[in-house]
Amino acid sequence: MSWLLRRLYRWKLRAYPRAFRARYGDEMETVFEENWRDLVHAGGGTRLGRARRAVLLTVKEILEVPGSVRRARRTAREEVRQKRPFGGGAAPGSGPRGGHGGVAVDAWLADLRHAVRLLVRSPRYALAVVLTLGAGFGANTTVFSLVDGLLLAPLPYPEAGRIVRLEETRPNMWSTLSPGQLTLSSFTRWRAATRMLGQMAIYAGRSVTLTGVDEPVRLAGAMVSPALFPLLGAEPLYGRTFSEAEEREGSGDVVILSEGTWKRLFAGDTNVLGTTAILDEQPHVVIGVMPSSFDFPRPDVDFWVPFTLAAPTTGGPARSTFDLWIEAVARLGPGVSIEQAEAEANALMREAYGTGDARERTVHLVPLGSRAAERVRPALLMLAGAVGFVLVIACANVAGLALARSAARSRDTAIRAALGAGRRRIVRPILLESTLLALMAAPVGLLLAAWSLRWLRAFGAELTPHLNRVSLDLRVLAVTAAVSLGVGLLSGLAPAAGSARLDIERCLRGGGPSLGRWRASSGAALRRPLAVVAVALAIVLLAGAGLLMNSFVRLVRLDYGYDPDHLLTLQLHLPDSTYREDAERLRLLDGLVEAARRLPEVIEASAASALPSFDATTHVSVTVDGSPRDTGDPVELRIVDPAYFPTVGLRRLAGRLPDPGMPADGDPVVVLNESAARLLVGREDPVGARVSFLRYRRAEVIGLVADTARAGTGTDAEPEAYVLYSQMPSSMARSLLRTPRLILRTVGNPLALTGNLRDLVARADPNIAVSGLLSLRSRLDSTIAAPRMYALIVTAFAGFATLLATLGVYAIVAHAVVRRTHELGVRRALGAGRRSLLTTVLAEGLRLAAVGLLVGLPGAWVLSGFLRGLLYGVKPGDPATFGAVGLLCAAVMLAASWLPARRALRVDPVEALRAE
Amino acid sequence: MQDPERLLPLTPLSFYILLAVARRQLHGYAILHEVEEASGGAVRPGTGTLYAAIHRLQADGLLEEAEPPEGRVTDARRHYYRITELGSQVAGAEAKRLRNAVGLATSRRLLSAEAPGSSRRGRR
Repeated sequence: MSWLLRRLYRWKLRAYPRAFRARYGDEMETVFEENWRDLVHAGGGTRLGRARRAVLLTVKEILEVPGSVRRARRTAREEVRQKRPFGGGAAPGSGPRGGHGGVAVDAWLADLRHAVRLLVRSPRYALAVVLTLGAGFGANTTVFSLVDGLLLAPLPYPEAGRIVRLEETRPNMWSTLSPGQLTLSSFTRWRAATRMLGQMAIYAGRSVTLTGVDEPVRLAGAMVSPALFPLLGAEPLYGRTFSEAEEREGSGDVVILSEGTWKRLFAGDTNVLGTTAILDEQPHVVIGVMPSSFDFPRPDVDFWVPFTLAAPTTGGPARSTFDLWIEAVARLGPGVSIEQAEAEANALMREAYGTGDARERTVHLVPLGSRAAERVRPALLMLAGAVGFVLVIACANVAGLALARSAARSRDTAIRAALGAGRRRIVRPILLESTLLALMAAPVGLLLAAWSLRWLRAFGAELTPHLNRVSLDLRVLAVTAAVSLGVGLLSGLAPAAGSARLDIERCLRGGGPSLGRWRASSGAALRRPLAVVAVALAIVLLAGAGLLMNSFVRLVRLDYGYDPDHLLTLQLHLPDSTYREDAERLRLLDGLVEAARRLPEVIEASAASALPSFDATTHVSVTVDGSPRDTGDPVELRIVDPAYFPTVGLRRLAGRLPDPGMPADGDPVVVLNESAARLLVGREDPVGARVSFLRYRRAEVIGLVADTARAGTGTDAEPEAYVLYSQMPSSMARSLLRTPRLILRTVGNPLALTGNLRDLVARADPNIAVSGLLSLRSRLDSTIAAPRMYALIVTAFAGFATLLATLGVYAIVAHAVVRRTHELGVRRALGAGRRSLLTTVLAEGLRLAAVGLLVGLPGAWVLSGFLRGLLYGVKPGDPATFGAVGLLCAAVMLAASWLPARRALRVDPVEALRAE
Repeated sequence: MQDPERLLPLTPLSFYILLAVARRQLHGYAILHEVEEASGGAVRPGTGTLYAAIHRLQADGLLEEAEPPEGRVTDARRHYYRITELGSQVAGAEAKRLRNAVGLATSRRLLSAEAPGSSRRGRR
């Protein structure tokens, strides 16, 4: 708040002469701050009273600018003149020129005073305009800040434009499972041979259990190449970053902590440098602390350890079948373009791996940050479009208000014209007035934007990880100022043009401009198209909001293929030293599941390698016996215990499900979901088919279960194979058994059991770290936070737009009733029925609504195509949504016309005629 | 030395500023307060208006910068002002002018003797 005020005040100071500013600027700022604090904050009284004082003080500080600037200038000029009394012709010579300028400036000031006086006399009008425009500016500034911070602003690294991501594609399906990544083998070869790239670094997520503190804690960090820190220009807060030598395997375990972790777990003690932290039971020497501003690769990263590589193999083409997909970044060498570096790399790849067959590798260089920006771009552009519409509607409304006002003032204007005021003197106060109002609306908008950004930062963390980069900055301020000036002039143009063309004689002779022929009056002719534009744009926004809401509701009510409510989930992290063998891990897991099952309120409990609807991250190649194809298909492997199916509530479609009594050494069995069955067997019922995993582990398909929907994005189900823990080959089970998940189905609120469950695990083994103790429903909800946010924002915009459009229509109809009082009275006197009068007035508003609908609905239909990527389960041109929007809009417009129409019915013919 | 009469009449704001700093040196915010208080809230300048007037008074030699009062710890952005010799003369002359005006108003029964009020800022 205070920084915003200060910034605004400095902006005001710029209006004053430089010397004046240098002499008094700081002082003035202090006085203003003290005054503000005493008056607004320390003043006591109600919140409303404080707000009133704040507004009054702001208005005073704005309105005094022209006068005090003029005075400061005059004093400064005289001071200069006094300092050189014999300064030759300069002083007298400046007289006439200054005088001439003075007249022009005085005329401007007089007009400004006139404009201010007019506004002060109609505070309700001023308030309506300032609030309307302020809300429009606020929404625009918010969205522009988002676009600026997330799409336009460079990343916070030196020469960030020279940093690229390295990506690889291969003509096999594994590559599509790792979009935007690179294989480790390509990286090492590339790095050894490149001349075009500077530093190159790889990184991957890594989470560990930190022990030796109160209780075991899970930390989420990253393994990174030592080159990453210099590549990104990052300096540690304390200590050092990794040395090149620390990349080699076995070169000593070191760790760098994030500032947050250091403060949270090590009490911000600098003595921690050089001490040992136990990560996954391995001692790591703490060598540095990174400042919180360094948030690569994720904002919530807790620590960094070196990405260790085996000693480099030299010579001969790499033939390893097992390769790691990782993230990689690099800095372009001096003067090297992305295309050059890419050409070099692809030549290297062809040389090393050959061409033509399935081994072909293609690499791409992509500017860092473009991937992240790509994900939010459609949503941000949609918001920018929506908010632009809101601003246009706000302007149309304000212009409509200004037109009505200038029509009401036409007699006044005519008198001024008759007294000899030139066209310029007539038009200028009107333009000045609207500009003034727009300028007053700008701070209101900035305040609104500051508040909504704070709100977004609090609630929109899931929207995008980089919201902390978004702030109101000087550029945003400049854009708001420019927009407000433009809007001021625009909204003033229509009434100004109308006033300049005013028929003086008729205005002075009649009571107002063309009584009885109101439609011909300058105001009304323009106000109707403005209202139609507002209605049409509001319909576009309503349609967009309707589609997004519809889509969001579908996501909320998504049929996941099982029952996601009343499920409590958590992940266990078993230390290797205690649990060396799979058998020991299985024994612990069985014991925990059995104990959990006996907890009160627990219906069923099970263990699994992954949660339903969430990525299992384990894909294996599966082949079907007797299939003519020799390459396998990637299928997501889910390791479960037999209780998994009843716990989760997965629907069985065919065959049978494994039962607890199934012997561990019996024939291996597998359960497929529909997608896997379609992919592998190509028919509905795969029961009885025999498949092999990774070519050697054979199993019989005993059952078919329903597909489970993926969380959040509404993407299609993946092919999945369920295999029992007890039957897994130990090489694969080991890694999955280290971090199993427990899933509990409860009677009531699952979160009520978290304490019990923690105790249960701690009693079994206090060295086991527990993470992700959440209900499955809350996990699913957090994945649809972004669609919810978009739907809410656009709905808020649409609601505001509809309100404005309705007010516009209401104003026009109400105005028409007032103007036609005489006519209505005559018709009443001549025996016109209520129905006929009602229809006449209603038609006034409904015609506007009809034209608005005719323009708006097709427009919305066309524009809704842009929403395609943001919708789930709804087509952009969804007829139900459009029908509802049309009906809603018609109903609202009818209501807006109904209120003034009822007033028309109460017109007393005698009164109306007497007024003539 | 300039003729004090030449600078008359003072604007109400300038007059109140001189009155405020007549007894002791004051900083900007204190001046703002005293002006508001002394005028009974009739003169409430914004910061720009206040400093344009201070600027003017300094240029005319009626006001000058002063050391902060002794024993007062103050931040560097805060400046103190006090009235000059010429300022005292001009303020005195202005007060005399106003007294004459008050006398005239009383004699014409515009003003009862016990309730002096400000006649400034009449609306057109």
